[in-house]
Amino acid sequence: MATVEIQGMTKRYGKITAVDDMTLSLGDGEFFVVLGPSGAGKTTTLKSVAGLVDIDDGEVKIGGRTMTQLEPYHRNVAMAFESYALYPQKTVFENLASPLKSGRTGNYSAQDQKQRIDLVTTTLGINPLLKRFPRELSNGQRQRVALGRVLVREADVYLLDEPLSHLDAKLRAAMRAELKQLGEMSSTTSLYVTHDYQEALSLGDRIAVLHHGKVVQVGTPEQIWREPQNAFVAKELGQPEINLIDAEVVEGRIRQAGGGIEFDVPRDVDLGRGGRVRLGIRPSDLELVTADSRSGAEWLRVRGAVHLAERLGRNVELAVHVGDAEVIVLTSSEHAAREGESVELQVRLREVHLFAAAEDDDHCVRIGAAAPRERELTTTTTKAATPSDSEQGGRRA
Amino acid sequence: MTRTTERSDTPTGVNPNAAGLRLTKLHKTYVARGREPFEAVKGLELDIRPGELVALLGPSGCGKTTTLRMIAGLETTTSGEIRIGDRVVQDLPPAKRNVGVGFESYALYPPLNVRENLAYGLKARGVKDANERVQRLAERLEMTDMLDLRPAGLSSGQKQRVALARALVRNPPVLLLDEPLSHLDMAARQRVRRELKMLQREFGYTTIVVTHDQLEALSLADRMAVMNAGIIMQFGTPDEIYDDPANTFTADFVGEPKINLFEGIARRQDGEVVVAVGRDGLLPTAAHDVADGQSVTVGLRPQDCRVAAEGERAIGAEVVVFENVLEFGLATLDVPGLDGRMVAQTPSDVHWQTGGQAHITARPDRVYLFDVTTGDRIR
Repeated sequence: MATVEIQGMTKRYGKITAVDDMTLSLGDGEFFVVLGPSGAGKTTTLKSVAGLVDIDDGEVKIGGRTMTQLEPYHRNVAMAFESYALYPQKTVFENLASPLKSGRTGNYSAQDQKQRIDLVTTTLGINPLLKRFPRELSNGQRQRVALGRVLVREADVYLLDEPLSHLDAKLRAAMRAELKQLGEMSSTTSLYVTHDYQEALSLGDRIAVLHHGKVVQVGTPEQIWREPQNAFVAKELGQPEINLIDAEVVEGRIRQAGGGIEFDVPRDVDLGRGGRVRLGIRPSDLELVTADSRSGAEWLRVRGAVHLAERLGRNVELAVHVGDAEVIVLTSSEHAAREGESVELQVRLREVHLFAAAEDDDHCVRIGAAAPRERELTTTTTKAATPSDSEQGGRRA
Repeated sequence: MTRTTERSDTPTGVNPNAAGLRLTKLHKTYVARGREPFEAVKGLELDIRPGELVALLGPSGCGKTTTLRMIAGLETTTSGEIRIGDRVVQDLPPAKRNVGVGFESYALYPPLNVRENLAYGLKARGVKDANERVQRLAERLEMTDMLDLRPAGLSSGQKQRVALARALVRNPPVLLLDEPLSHLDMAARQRVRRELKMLQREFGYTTIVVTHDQLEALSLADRMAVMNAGIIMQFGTPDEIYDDPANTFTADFVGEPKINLFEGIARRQDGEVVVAVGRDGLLPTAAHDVADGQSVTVGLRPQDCRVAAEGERAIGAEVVVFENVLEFGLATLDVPGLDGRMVAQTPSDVHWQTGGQAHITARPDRVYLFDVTTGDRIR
């Protein structure tokens, strides 16, 4: 059990800066997720904390101790790799015993070993597999064994590199629920890397979104989801992707370019001098207006024409022409509209995000929303996304 | 004189050249010395209307790609008939079948860049606006940035789009696509999928898409065939497949999060059928062709679970894990007296506590019953 402090950490590979001046602070026992697309520097971050690569600048502290000059096995961290990294010639039991045999990481008697392995395999439901070889296991079982190798030894910090990415979607969802349930995981400081936003939202006490080696935003799942720092973060979370629509500011009104969506400039929002903004609306926040729809001042309504309806399980994804824009709407199959039909859509004003108009998503910085939120988001003690993120402790004490 | 006329690419909605496709008793058995003969496709029957988009969906090894390759002429048939329009084609060479094929491994000319590769076939047939056609198609498939690259420099996702474009640019009456989107990242996959569907609608190619991704099949297809071990388990519209699964295989394969399948006992009460689950759970069901006391497999999708009102027939369960994914919540539930766990999806504004109690139920027509041994649906 320990805190992890990453201060100004930079790692370069030749000309490429994989991790760029990263500062993060993990509370004791916090489950911290790093989310980003491939190439964002997620794995490099983990390897730097583990000591598997030498960092070029900055500092890593675990439990207050500077780790920079320490060899990996003195850092008392346990890491699970994306590729499982099991010994193919060893049985499941031997694989699990190997972290306990290395003298550097503590001495365990044969009885202690058996006891710890028993505990872990019971938790993970892999008891019956102890005598099997990795090749005789399914992917899901291999994944459990790989996790077991992490959990079997007490460590200050667990480092987990996309542990679920090789599983198919259904198994991944089941394993995700299991991971969340593991007591060991929730009580030990964990740094978890993934490109899957649902994993991040489900598992993380807090999430850091990474892009091109830089931390774009740090916050609770709710903060990241409800108040994305810029259009890049907004697009990283949510499937289908958030709708981004260009709009102009005209005479106190925000108006979609080419007509369509239109509403008053919110009072508490500073639009600067720019005459243009970008609206962000999540497909799941939009709904079709029907006879018994909720209505009122908090709702924004707009008309459009459905040009494509795609069934996605219980939901239907509609592509709707609103003004010049194509807006994607996720609606339940119970009240779906037909292709060619003219429809009215509505969204709560507070779910209409305002971003600065800019060419690339990183510079589309959040300005606010079309209406304020009546309720505070789940936050930690200090505001997320400040460059010097110096807070202590996570949600789960 | 018969010759295929080159159609212009102005959207028509109905493609006059689009042909229907009929598979009759199609078989494929692989025979190799020293091994048991392997029957990959077992008497497939499929009738596809002109201009229709049909998805073949199934796990690896179910025979979907073999079927596609037989239609394309890249694989011989063991027996049965393949009819495109009014022509029987199974003995014709691939080039004579008049199908557009988007296979991932489809060869591109290495010395030519993507633009030239795409235009090549068109130019060879004397199409005048070949370059413009390629350009327009590339814009819609989000691949203009790769037009000047050579095939060797492409990523697998890019190669896939080139293969797709190459099949589409010819404007063929029958289009065969093998996992056309599998290498694209999530966001690109959704956008290209929509474009593919729009293009297919506009040009009206009769299209068969092979995929193992159930969401792709549901969203793309007019009708879809769910395959397993060389046979079709169910053929129908995405609505029929999803809302009215014919057997446990289809119910289990289609839908995410996965459908809950668990044991139950059918009970007839006052002319109604209900199903007893676990120690004291009770669910309503629309099924009626079942005996009192009969053991059944119950299918209930996580998305169809809802919180029961007081006094309603329901399953009481303990919430083992609650995941708040913001768009929605996912609860893993422990039902007393039931092996295994259930998953229920909740709306984004419903939050359950881990360790708390939940009472869930569902609309009767969303509680499916299946035969315990055959897995067939009990209506």
